[in-house]
Amino acid sequence: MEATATRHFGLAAAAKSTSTAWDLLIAVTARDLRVTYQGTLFSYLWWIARPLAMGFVMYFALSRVLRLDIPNYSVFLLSALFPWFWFSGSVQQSAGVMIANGGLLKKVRFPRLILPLSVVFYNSVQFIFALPVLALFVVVAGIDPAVAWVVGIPLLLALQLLLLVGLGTLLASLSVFFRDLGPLLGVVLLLMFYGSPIIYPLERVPERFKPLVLLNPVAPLLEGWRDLFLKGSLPGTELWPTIVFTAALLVLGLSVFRTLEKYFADAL
Amino acid sequence: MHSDNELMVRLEGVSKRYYLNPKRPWQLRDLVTRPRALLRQLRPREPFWALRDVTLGIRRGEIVGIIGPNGSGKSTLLRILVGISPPTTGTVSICGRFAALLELGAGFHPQATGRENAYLNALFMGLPKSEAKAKVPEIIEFSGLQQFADQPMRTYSSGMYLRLGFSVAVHVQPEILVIDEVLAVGDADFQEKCFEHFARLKESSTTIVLVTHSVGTLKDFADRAILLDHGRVVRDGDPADVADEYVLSRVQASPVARRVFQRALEERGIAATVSTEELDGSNGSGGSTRQ
Repeated sequence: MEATATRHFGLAAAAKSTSTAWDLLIAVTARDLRVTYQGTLFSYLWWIARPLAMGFVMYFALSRVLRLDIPNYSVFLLSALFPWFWFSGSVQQSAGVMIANGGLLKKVRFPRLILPLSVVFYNSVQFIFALPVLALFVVVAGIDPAVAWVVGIPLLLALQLLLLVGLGTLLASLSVFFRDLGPLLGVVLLLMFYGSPIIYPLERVPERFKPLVLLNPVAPLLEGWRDLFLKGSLPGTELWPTIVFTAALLVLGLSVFRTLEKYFADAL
Repeated sequence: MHSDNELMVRLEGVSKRYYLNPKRPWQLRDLVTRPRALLRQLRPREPFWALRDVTLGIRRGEIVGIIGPNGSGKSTLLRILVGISPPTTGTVSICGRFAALLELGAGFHPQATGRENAYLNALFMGLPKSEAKAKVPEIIEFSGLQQFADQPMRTYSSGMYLRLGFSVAVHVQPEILVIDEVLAVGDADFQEKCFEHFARLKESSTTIVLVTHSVGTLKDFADRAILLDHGRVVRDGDPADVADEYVLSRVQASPVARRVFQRALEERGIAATVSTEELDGSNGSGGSTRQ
């Protein structure tokens, strides 16, 4: 006999449950943010502290010790490090969120998508709050705020958010069945960090390695953020591969999640 | 549409198969250290049927108690009923909004306050934001935790967890309320309050499915009882009858209880022996998983 489970809900009920799911997503994200920084003196400044610390170390080592000659190297670093930490934090946490919430998944029926989405939202909110600090560093370095920011920031925010939703849902659903994913991602993210144009500019990569760096869809995104803050220029056609990749990843991630979600409770 | 005979829950031929995990999951190093054991892993995993061919219907306004020994499939049944876990075979259909309390504190965040958790838990159970907000004061009051509502949940005792969890579940106004064995943690006062509330819910035609180990609860509050054993529905009917059968089967299953029961009979001058045959028969077929 074929196994089926029927739930009788009308169209109106479906619309209502979507808005309820949205409310739940917002509430879970808000709770996680509140709980993280509750009782800390510096609150979300702690999120900013990590890219800043990394930026400081890289600046010292590469600009002061090794005398790398790149103008405005501090802004150069930070404008790519902030979005990188947003990316890597979301990716790493997406692969752990289902296992961390195993009890909830086994005992409460709710839209499973809430969990990976709340991870992405949680990291996105912190990145958005960190943007004024980044802008401050840009201005202090003597670069004038550009009009392009008004268009460029929302554009790159939206693109990276969608990329993370696709990647987050994919990784979250696979992590339930493939426990090596967490440690594996640690290695992959480390390779990606040095393989992406974060501490070096893309144009200095030797011609024969360039395709390898550009294979990484995050590279054009990081370059986009950097050009926006450093030169005040909007991203151009070099962003297209990332847009296509994001669209594909969204479809793949959401459909894999939808397919696997009914087995989560039994596999955890 | 809201007739009293309306079926709210229907399970037909529902079975659930799990696979037993191998004693030790294989790792890459086994290729070198235990190649033979690795080959053994390739054989199909050993299935375990947690539920076998369960067919039942629950009508609007019924209070159904589910009883059975540990491992008889009660929790699996609830999880399938609620839709957390899909059945391996068979069909499940549910009409209406339900709230489920399957585990104490499931969905509570220890660092968040009782009030925050009450709000969030109501959202988890499917209440829209505006309604959830409006219900929070009522939930807190019913739980009797006004004094501690703004303390983080990590400071709560298990009784307080239950009070808050139960309060949320009954205040989201479900049409079907599903509760796993959690009420036992509450003190007598709160348990009484819960059962009073069940009576009120029953008047408003709420359907209640309750797992319990307490024969008293079954007899006092259920309209109907279902006895599960080894994943099968053994009896489905009047709570008093089912409770008696359950107690008897437990007595037969336990040598200690059997001795106590035998002595009680002898003291009353009744000459009878409590049979062990049924038990031995069921043990042979169900227990051992060794190869």
